[in-house]
Amino acid sequence: MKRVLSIFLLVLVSAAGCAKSSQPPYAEDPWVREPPPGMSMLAGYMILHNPSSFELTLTGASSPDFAAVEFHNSVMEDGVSRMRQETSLVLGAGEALRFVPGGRHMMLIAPGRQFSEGDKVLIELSFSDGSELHITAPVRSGGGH
Amino acid sequence: MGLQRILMIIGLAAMAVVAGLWLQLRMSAPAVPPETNATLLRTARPVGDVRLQDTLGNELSLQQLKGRWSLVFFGFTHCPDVCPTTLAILSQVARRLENLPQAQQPQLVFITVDPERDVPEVMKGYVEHFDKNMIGLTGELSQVEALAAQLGVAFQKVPLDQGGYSMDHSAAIFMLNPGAELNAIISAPHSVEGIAGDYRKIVEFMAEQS
Repeated sequence: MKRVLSIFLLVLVSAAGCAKSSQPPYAEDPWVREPPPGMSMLAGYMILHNPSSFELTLTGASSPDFAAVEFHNSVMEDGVSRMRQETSLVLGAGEALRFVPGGRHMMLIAPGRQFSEGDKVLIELSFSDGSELHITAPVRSGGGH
Repeated sequence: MGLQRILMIIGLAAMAVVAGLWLQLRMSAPAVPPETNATLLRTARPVGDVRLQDTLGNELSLQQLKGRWSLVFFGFTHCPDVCPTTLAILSQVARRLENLPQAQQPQLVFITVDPERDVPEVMKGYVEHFDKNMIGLTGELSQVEALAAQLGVAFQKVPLDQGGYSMDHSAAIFMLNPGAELNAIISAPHSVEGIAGDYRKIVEFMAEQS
């Protein structure tokens, strides 16, 4: 009986070890580039991590400070920079999506006020499972670092 | 034959040998272009003149860029990612090259491919945000197109879903020599170290050539 119990415990422990992780996504080093005066579009960057063992789909973003927030990717084709909108982005289990200058970025459209270095931009990311992630991204000048 | 005369002949002969060696050295060692990521044009290509407008609305002929090396980038101010990224890089490149003699330091030039929206006043605030010495140029679309065609710059208007439009455009940086001729093309992706390093090598190499 003792033996049966220990096997049972062993199974239970190993099952716990394999349990699916559902840690929420998080944004590493989010920031928004300080815009020249009067600009109608700003770009935001971050590394978005999905530490869970489930695939996540990023379906949208919004900000109280902007009319709209979209995802765009600056792609280079034959030396020509083209900006393409991405309506949803898939984050594989344990993966990260890099939003970097000259690449994928959050396009923050029509600011409600002027932003300068040191200001904070609130961004809400929405996922297909209904969850949301709130980010506070500082405004930085130049290369961002 | 006096000793003086013999010495003079020996002296002349020695000079001739030295001159010969020097000539041979120069001819047998053709200048090797530096290793750069930039595409260096061994023979600079003249650029036909176009008339644009500076940020104060004054007419500026491309010929007015003569006298200094120029780093020229084409973009538009409604560009949220690639243009600010590149202009921030160029501004840092200029700072990194401040230890060059003044005459060898680059002038930064930003030319809009969207003159419809980028009027001189808009250009002024935009370029000054990145570098107070950056030259911002706009003008008649036909003039911008004429210049773009000569340098191989492609650009195209792309409508956006939410209204308005974006511009697809070449991301290369063009290096014009002090004669305002195309001397090198720096392709994206850009980095401060990459551009500053190539710039130094090219300016030094072209100085040796002349």
